[in-house]
Amino acid sequence: MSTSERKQPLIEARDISKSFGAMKVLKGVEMSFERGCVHGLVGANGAGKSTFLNIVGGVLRPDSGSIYVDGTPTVVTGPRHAADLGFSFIYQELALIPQFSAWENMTMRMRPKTALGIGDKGYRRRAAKAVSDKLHLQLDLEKPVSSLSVAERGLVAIGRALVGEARFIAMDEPTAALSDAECVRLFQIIQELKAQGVAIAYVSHRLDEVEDLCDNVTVFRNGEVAMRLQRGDYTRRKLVEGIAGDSTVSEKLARRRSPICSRATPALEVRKLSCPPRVKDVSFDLFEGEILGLAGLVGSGRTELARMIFGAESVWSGQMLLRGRPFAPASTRDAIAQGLALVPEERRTQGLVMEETISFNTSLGNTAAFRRKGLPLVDERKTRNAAKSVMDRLLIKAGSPGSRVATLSGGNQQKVVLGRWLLRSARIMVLDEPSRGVDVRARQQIWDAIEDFVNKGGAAIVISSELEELEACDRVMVMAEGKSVGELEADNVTETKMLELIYSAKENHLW
Amino acid sequence: MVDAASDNRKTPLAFGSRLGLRQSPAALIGRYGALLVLAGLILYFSLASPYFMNARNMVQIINQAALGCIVAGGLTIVLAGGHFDLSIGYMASLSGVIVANLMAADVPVPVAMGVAIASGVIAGAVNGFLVTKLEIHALVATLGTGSLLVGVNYLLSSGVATSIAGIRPEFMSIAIGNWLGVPRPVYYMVIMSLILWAILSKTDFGRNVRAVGGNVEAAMLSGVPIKRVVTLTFVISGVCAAVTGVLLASTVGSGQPNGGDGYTLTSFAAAFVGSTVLREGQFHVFGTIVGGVTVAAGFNGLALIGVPPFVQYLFQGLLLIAAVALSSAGRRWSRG
Repeated sequence: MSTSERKQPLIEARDISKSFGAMKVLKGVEMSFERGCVHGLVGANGAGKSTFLNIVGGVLRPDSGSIYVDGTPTVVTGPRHAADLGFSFIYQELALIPQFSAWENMTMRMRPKTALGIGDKGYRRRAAKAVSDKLHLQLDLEKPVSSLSVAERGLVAIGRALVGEARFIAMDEPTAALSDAECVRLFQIIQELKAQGVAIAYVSHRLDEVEDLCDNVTVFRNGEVAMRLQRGDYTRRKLVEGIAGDSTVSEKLARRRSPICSRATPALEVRKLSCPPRVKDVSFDLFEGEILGLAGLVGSGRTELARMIFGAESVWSGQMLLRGRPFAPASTRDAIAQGLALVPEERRTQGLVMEETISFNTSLGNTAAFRRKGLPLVDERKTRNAAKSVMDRLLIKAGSPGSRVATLSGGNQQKVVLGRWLLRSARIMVLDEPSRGVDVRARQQIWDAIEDFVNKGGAAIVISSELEELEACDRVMVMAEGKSVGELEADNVTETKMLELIYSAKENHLW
Repeated sequence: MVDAASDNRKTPLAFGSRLGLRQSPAALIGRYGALLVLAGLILYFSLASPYFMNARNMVQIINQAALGCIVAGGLTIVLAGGHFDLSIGYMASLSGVIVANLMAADVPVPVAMGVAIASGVIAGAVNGFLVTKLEIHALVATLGTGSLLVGVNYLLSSGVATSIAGIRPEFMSIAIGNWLGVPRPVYYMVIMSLILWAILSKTDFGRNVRAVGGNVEAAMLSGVPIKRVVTLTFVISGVCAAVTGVLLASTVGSGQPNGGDGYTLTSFAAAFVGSTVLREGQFHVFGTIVGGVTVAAGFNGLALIGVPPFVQYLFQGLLLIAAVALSSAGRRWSRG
């Protein structure tokens, strides 16, 4: 490789513009990806990062502008062409085939043939195995993806991008579904890829990651490049300002621990709850006016525990008491009727009816409250007014209650799910990854809403894989391998202490 | 500010998509393609046959579409809830046979009709049970019940039509004849469609149906009683098929063992064509009626220009396939 070639960026995008209907999502974006560099892309939801990567990957065609690969103008005609160019993508929406095994998904693009001209499965299996060893995956590669957890699917998607020879790897929120320990491993791999001369595009809402990993950072705002920064040149404060476009948003969650939390009345008591192998003998109390965090690695049983409490998963053994009375929800309906609420892990597939409106979604499942007197008819005005009140309260940015939720940004969609439960006067709310894929401003607003909820006598359980986020909780229970391995309170609720507990339990198993 | 700005850009699209304005030509075809097809058919047959374009024939087309639209309307509810019902045609046949045989056995008209419609409730409940409790895929479950219905049909009819012409004039007058110059079946279609439209668009049950059809998991986690909702959609579809069977028997004056079988295909064609009308890829009752009329207009026009019957089947098949292709394309385009 000559020196001139080395200096030339692998990919250079010039003046890329793209519109969806009347909406301009990219306006003259210029960017380049160099070999052996990690290039961070940050920006609020809807700022245009994903659209830009989709254009590089051939999923979308730009309306104008051009892409140069190795200095040659190139029209990327489709994902297949992108793969031939040596471009690999880890998409935000996991594009895996549920019925296929993990190794089949990882090696989908490979077409090795045996001497007889038949597909070489052994070769593909070995290639998948090699990547899975590199990633230290602990999952069974023969298992169909449908039986894997969300986090494990995320790891499979990452593994897929690493199979074969890539010159450019774009990672769109690769850590969104991962726990901290898995992230650490991913970062090591990124360093290795970098050393091998691979160009990497890294999209994330987690600014600490961007800070640690990226050689240069491009900040997107409203479809434009708002800021370009080199390593050493950027600070968090600067990044946050670039993303938000003003300097009023603080990146760290602001929350004072609630003083009103009285430990006298547990809202929920959980005793030795089990559903092996995912949840084993978990016990804890949840008090009124408190936010309890659930920390742990992905696959540690937090989601399953939440779903058991909500009546969405069966309980094998153990008891629960709700405000002192035995509580054994037969179904989600039953749990809801008793004042429980769940904001599920994946808002698109579990939380919302995407093609319907905001008011449809905020009243979902709550038809009795929006019925005309004595008739089984929906009271449209009441439904819209309720949606409007939620939109005002949670600062949901949308045209009207009649806007389709599919047109909203991730943060606003999450607020719609949250708003549904505020309208149902829930007493205990379980939030599973409430700020995943949500920009910093919306995250603060979501936490404000949770705080407001508990200050009015509610109680909340928050699951998050971002330990830093959980520092805003009053108390944190740490889970590992389905068990509770410790609780932290008051000043002990720190990222370091949580990590200590997680690793004390995992030390012998993890790597 | 970030959110506000990004959403200001998005809102005009959401608003525009309601009006269907400011969309790409492709998206417009997704929304108005079915209406264009209907307009094109009418235009073509008007030019091709002197007998096509007149008030009498237009009324005739709607009359031909009427019974099919009632079955298709019921199917629309099932489809909106995310399932299929392949048993509707056989249900209509069975209901006609039941009503005719009971009347031939001197059972009073209201009782005979009640029993026939009750059979639709039962068949729908069975479908709902198979799909929600035994968790059999609706395609397979309703294919199975469809065959069961044919079996019961032949048990009752021995495969022979039961004539009621002349025996029960009061029954015949239900569907034969005009009122204010419009054939009676058209009124039944309008009434049934209004009821079905109100159910799907105005009631909390209809809302739940759309929630289940849109995202079962989200509906379940929000406390929508999924099994009850799905079962009821099948009951509604069974009842609509049974009502059609009764009206069909009244129209033709006999219970034909396979008189309603063809409704399955025409209903699917109507509902899928309808799903491309105005709303990209969503099933709705008004669209289904447009679809039903499109199918009927095609049949009528083809008969008038004197093509052999096989062409009608080619037409219906192509229409169904084109409609499904359009509706999925419409969904794709509407997402951008």
